[in-house]
Amino acid sequence: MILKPTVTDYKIIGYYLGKIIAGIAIFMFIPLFIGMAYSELQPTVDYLCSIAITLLIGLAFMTVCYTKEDLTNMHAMAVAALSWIAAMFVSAIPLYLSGHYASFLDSCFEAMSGYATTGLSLVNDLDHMARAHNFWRHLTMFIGGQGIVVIALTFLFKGTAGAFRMYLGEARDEKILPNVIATSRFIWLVSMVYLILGTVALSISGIAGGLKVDKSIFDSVCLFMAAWDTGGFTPQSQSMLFYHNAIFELITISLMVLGAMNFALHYALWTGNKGEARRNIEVITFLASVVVTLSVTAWGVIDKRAYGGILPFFGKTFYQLISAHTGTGYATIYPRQFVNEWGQLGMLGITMAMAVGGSVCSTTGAIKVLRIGVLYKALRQDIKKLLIPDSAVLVQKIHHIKDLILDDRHVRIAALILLSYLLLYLFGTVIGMLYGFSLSEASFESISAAANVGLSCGITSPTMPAPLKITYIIQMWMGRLEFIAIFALSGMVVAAIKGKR
Amino acid sequence: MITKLKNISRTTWNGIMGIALEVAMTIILVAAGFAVCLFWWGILK
Repeated sequence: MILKPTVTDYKIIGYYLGKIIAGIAIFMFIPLFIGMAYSELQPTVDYLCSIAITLLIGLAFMTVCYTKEDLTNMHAMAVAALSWIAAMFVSAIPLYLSGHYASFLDSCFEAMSGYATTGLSLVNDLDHMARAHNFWRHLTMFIGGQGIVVIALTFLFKGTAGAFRMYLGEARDEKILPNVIATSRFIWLVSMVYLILGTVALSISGIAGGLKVDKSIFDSVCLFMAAWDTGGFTPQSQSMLFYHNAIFELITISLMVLGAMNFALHYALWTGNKGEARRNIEVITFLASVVVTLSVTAWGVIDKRAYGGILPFFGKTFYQLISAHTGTGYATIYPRQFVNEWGQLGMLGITMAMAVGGSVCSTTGAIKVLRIGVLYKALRQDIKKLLIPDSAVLVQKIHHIKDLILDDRHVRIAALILLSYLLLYLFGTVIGMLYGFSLSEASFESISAAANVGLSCGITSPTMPAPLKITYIIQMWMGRLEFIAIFALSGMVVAAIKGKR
Repeated sequence: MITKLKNISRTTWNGIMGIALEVAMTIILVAAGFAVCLFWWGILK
């Protein structure tokens, strides 16, 4: 029997949701200060209005739904799922006020793309956008990549039992340290250390490459946030093509790979466990997957004779591949070049890389290499079982931070998530094809949205049909949260309709 | 006090070595990517 949620249930969800919305209002002070620092009057007013509206909504939720009760599993999952939708709506307000978006739906698309660290964009005239607004786009990526709930756990919540449940709801299934708040703070420590190193490295190479000092520093901070959090927004409309800087590309490759690494692996390496780098199943699977998908892409690109020399061929192919595999979406080619110059096989290689993605408990989306590794090991175990006597016992181990015996539970979860992602990819592909796009183009864009990558073959634009925009928003949201929290929220909605008191 | 300082310096050193190892891993990845591209370029071009 399904029980109908009570008023107390709604109040608990509303109260914690209000806290998260108020937290987002606090983050809006950063672009406000940037607007003031650069004497951007209109953006400053935009952020003052947005902060007032967002704070009002957050405080209203907290006051009306005030409670001292802790979160149960159901509440935590609902808060995790709904906080991303709420964040999208309130964060779209300043973007819409900027005048760079054709509709509020477009600014919602941009905000969700930012939070989900996708990088698909519907902005108009990006090259003339005020710095405050441009910074806000990148900051949404940083907030989303770190995890809205991780941020809330770090700054807003005390160590409640419900905190860990919310953390799980945001597709962070690894507790690196015994306490979930300490885990959240470690995630921030790693990000802050790389924020300093990455920004300094990018700024120096930008200045050496001819950028003005303030432009170089501003762009470097933005590029770092989007690369580390595997987002893919850039301050310029031409993505990484704008910079024409090989050192920039090398640094962003490093940042994208580091951002796609499991925070548990960062912890192991930062605490002296060096052997983990060559034994971890995620590292091995990622490397194997890069070799396979790069081979497919390279074959297609060479076959199409897109590049005349090995260096431009390597530079373009490898950059796009790593950008796709880590779920970032930075590009050093124009979107239509995928279709016109790389051909079907080249696009297939990139699509495969996007579908696989990076590590669990990182800032990436998609199926993720750990699950591919688990399923590969399970398949190998089953084949081995066919070849050995019935009486023999076969134990399959995997190494992920520690040695684990592969059991049916691991395989079942990996297979379920894989199936869910495949269905989500298919959903967007079918909708894209209904609007007249070819299978390769529709699947490329659909997987890019659902796997939170952000590479585009040209479908995503302000003129694309509204239902397709909504489809991609849903895909970005579901892909980022890895389904569990959304399934729980759906269950709650069903219980609210059909449940018994 | 000395033990505390030793712990801090060891943690910091481990962190620096961890970052160096992570950067080295990305360089190895780029080198492996170049080798793969070179291989296919040599065969197919």
